[in-house]
Amino acid sequence: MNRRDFLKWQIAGIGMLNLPVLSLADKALAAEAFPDVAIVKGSPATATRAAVDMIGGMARFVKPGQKVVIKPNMSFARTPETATNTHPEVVREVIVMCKEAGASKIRVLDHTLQDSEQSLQRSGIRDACNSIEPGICHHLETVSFYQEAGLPDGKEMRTNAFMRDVLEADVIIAVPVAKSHGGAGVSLSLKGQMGLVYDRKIMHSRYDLHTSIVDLATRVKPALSVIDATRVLTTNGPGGPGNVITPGEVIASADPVAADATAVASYEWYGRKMQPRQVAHIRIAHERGLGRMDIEALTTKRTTA
Amino acid sequence: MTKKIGGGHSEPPLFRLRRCIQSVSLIFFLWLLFNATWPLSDTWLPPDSYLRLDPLTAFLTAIAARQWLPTLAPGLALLCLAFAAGRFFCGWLCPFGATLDLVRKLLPRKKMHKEHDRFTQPGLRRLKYLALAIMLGTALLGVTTLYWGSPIPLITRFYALLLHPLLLLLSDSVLAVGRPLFNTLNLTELSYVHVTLRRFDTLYFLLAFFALLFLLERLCPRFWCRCLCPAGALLALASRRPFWRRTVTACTHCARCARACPAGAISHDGEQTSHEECIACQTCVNVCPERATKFSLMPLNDASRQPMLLPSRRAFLGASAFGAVLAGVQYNGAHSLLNADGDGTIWSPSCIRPPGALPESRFLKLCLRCGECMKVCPGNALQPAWLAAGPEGIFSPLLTPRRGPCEPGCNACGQVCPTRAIAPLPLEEKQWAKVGTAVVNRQTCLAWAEERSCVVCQEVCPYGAVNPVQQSGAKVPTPVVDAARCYGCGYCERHCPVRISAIVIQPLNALRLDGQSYMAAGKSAGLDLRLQNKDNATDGASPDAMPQDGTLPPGFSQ
Repeated sequence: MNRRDFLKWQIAGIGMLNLPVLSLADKALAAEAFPDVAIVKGSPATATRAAVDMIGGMARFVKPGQKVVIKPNMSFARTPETATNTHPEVVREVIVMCKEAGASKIRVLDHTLQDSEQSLQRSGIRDACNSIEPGICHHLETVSFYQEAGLPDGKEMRTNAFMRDVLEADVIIAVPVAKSHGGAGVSLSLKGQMGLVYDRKIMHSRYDLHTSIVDLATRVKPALSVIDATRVLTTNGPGGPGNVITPGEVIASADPVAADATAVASYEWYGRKMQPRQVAHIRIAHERGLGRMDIEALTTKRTTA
Repeated sequence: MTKKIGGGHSEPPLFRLRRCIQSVSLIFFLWLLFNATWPLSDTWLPPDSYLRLDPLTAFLTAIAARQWLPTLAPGLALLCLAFAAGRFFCGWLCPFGATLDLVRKLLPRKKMHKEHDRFTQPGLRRLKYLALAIMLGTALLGVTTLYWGSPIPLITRFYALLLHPLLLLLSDSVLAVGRPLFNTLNLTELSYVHVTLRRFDTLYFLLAFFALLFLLERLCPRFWCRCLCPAGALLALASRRPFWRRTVTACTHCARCARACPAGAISHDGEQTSHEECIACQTCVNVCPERATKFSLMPLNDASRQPMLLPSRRAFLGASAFGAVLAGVQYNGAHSLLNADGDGTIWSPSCIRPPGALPESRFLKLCLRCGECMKVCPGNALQPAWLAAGPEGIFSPLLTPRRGPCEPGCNACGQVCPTRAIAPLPLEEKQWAKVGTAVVNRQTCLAWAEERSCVVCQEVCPYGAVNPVQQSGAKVPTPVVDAARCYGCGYCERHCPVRISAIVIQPLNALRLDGQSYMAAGKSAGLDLRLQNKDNATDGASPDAMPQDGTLPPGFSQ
């Protein structure tokens, strides 16, 4: 062994020794630095970016080359002020951040009950998406866009037809608007995932709605939830018109249950303070270990952007 | 027929022109029809142009409805033109005739001229006059039966309800196959192109009817036009001696023209013509080796015409009388809606008419069953009836919300209706033309019967007419319909997750007016129809949706 080789081995050895230590430090650092939930007050786009940055930035969720499906609320032919759809600026900022993180394919998808063309147009979301990359924002209505897939961890719903794009995606990001819902209590990141399957009716008719919402999350649980609470529809949801308040906030979390629980606790629904456990699908998701609704035990960071 | 005969024989210009115009006419008809989608684009001709051109429709609808219909004036003008130029409509313009000619070209051909003769026999040819007489008999008593034989409404329905959806189904399958390819080629926009399929009722009737006619084309060219078409009969009556007609000079009696004539209008020796049967298609001019045949303006008296193949006066009167009896029977049907305004009428719960449809008895007299409204309806909600509107209302349009809702922002059905059986209402009027009321079936509703969270009906209602009401002691909010705010659009019925919708539209309190203002009538009836997609969000927040003290907001639990 000559000196050169000796030095090489030495360096390699030092590297090997240090690697686990370094990565451990990384994790410790991350746990310390990133709160479980971020709440940022500000204009839609800046608050969105700040909230995601607080929990580690988009690079924590989207790796270069990955395929991303973004699921906003865009199924009502109404303008942003009505708080029935996600604010287009929020959706756009999420797309921009995904691009920055190096996503190879981004799709903004939903499955509406209303007139799809008018919903895409009046919500302003399609225009917002097209300003970044044309042709990525769609309502998928035809069954040929869907593929049957199993939910092995489902309690009641064990199968449904999912959007092919969703099944192929590496990352799913939920970008719901915060609003009340006559059937589910609230419509947030867990309830919003119903827009990714073909047969939504069966979740009401054959299964218990709350249980099947959680069943859905066993397969299409969002890696990142960005709840648009810049405006909140607190009554008469999901379609409104109802009482709209304007907290001007965006909530972000890697845990959809924690994000939803935070949104429930943060605002008054029908003029009343409610507990996260009072929304059955949030409680069930917590009980089944899909996330945590005990937000008082989690770290929440607030700021103004 | 287009084969050149002899060496130096080229196609005569009129023959070529006729073929050209006929093809263009069929293409133009299909273009107008397939482009009839909401939102309607401004074309320089209305989508229902061809329907307005049907002489039989114009003539009999005016009689049955006892009303001058300005939109149908072109049909009457065409009937008058037949006095001068014969049945040129049949050979040059009619999309039904053009379709038959096309089918004949596509079908494997049989040696025809022998069978030909059988179908040239007077007996079968007289059928069309009898059909016309029956329709005239019913029309005189105010009942329309012309939809069983009027060519343009029939061919419109064939293309709009049967062929167009088949083409959509085909393109959908092609797209589904091509999609992985588009994806790999990164054709983002193209990979999301999709086709909304359209489905219709009464397709078996259309299939059987047209399959039969197409098969008959193999045996005898234009069998329908020769023997059955009542519009052809009406035109024939007007074109016994048109000024512009076929004439023969220096004939060698080779009888090629007689064999080639698709209408069978030429005598065996080739010299004489039944002008009322002639569709002026110029085939005889084309096949004549001597160029002895031509179409030209002639004086009225004419030796070269064959005696007309009319049914006897007795047969004609008998058929008319039968028509009159038929009309009486239609009035007397237990489920007949021809006197729907009277007492003791049996309404089917699914007999929901399009918005702006005239009062039922008037509507049935005017409706041509052409299917134009069904073609244009964006939700595929308008369907031809089988028996839901009584046997007398067969093929008339019904709103079928389970298939698709009536879009609040659309008024297309009234814009394309050729007879104005559905009034062409401006949007602000149409929004008051209540078509029915939603009724909740509490035995099957998930919330009412099983105490399960749902209220999708409330979620989708564009009018805010479904309220989730928390009944005392109930676990979940239950849907309750506010009839004054319900338009009957059927969004709720369309999206109810129960397999047989637990909320259905019934034609209750539908507004059916003849010329009056729907807005005024609706307001005076106490209706409160307000679309909820107004952009001022808090405007319609109903305070009664706020739970009283102690009760939970809808969807929450303790």
